[in-house]
Amino acid sequence: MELVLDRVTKHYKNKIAVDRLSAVLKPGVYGLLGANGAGKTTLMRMICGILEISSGEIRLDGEEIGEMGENYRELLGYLPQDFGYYPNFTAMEFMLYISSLKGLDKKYAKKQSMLLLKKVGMEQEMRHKIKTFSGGMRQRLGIAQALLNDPKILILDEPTAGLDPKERVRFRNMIADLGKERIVILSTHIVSDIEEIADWIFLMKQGQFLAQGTLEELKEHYLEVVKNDEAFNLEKLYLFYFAEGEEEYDMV
Amino acid sequence: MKQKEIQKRLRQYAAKTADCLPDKRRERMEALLKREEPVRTRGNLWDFICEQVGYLLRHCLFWQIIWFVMFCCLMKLGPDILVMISVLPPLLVLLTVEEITKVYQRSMMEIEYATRYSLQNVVVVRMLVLCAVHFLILFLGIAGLHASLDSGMGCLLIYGFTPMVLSASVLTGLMRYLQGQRLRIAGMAVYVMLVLAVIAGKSSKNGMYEPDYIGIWCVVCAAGILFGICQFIRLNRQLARFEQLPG
Repeated sequence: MELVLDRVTKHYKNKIAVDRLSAVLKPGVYGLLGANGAGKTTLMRMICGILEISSGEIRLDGEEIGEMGENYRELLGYLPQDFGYYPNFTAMEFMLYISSLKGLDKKYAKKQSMLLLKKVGMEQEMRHKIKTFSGGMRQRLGIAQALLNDPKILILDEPTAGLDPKERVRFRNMIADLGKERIVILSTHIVSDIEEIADWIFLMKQGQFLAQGTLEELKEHYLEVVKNDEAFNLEKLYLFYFAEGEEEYDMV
Repeated sequence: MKQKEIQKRLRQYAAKTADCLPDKRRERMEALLKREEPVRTRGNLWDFICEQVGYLLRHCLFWQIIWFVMFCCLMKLGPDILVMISVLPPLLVLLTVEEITKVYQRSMMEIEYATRYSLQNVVVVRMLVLCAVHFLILFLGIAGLHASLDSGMGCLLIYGFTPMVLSASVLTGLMRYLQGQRLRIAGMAVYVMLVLAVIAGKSSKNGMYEPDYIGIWCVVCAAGILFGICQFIRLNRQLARFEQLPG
């Protein structure tokens, strides 16, 4: 399976949100790192087919995703950054509603919903209304709904926001496992999440990829520039790329 | 040879590889889906429609029953049956419109757009199902009345269906701009104007319910249906693109 981004661009009247991005994605976990306004969410929405691409193409195994239509969406699982909900639905009702939108068989949907709610630690809350949930619980529910149709392409926008450390570790293990046979694209500000699980990292700024590679490759590049810095971590790399010229972030 | 000429000639000979030809697309798609094996423990479009019907039954049936009982009671006890026939059906539309606009939570829309049956499918199916059900309810109500009134069944249906169609068409148009509470308020305003128009129209003994006016009723009904179809198409087009949705 191969997802190809070919010079993908999104522009609005006065702004280019995503600027001619190209990449080839195969099964694995891809981390998307960038400051606010870098274009990460716009890129993810285009990959999901929610936003129309201004120019360029996104192809899955040679097929343009717009032309694939519902066949592409069948393979997709998506967790947006601002995850909404219908307040009077219970967790189970919500999962079943999303299952019907995903075109899943009722029996399968029920079984899969219970399994996923258990997986994300929401088994006790499945009959409770979503409006009573904390932010972290809603986030876990969001992760569960993204996995309902056993997606081959999983797009997660800030998935660990609101999760406590224990939940974040559970989530990382889940994603690392899923990434073995799927394309998982993960966008986050929490650098340690990407450091732990991403096979490939994209650094994004102002709609463009500043750098991409494995953690080792990025480290090599960083050390070439900032010589003799043994204590490398992804956060330093992030600051190196994104805080250039800002004095308060000068490397110590 | 000039540059433009060279470029023109190069473009003329640009050819896609055999794999990209449209007639092979179906085979490639099938091969891709076979390879990726999406979760096929799923129903088809008919199952999706049945799910939506089930959802609407659970959430609208109560109001539909209340309306039907009210309709029957007012037909027996109400002062002016013909006005009641015209004024009550739009109320049914107003009571149930929320089940269509409930899906208009922008924060949910992103998820709904990324599913197999997107938001567009949900709204369209719900609207069509409610249309059919409301017409059936109205038909049953009027069929029950017909025996006790002088007017023919066709006339009574027109008197009831026309205001229903007009209110539904206007609400469909408003749905492109308003949702939730605001749509409910706008719907109430439309309903009040309709009621006033009906009362004004029945100024003399039978007013616009005289047999001579039935042609005008038919024209207004047809215009309402056409207007409704146009609004439906425009709403459908708006729902096709996430960026066009009011935020």
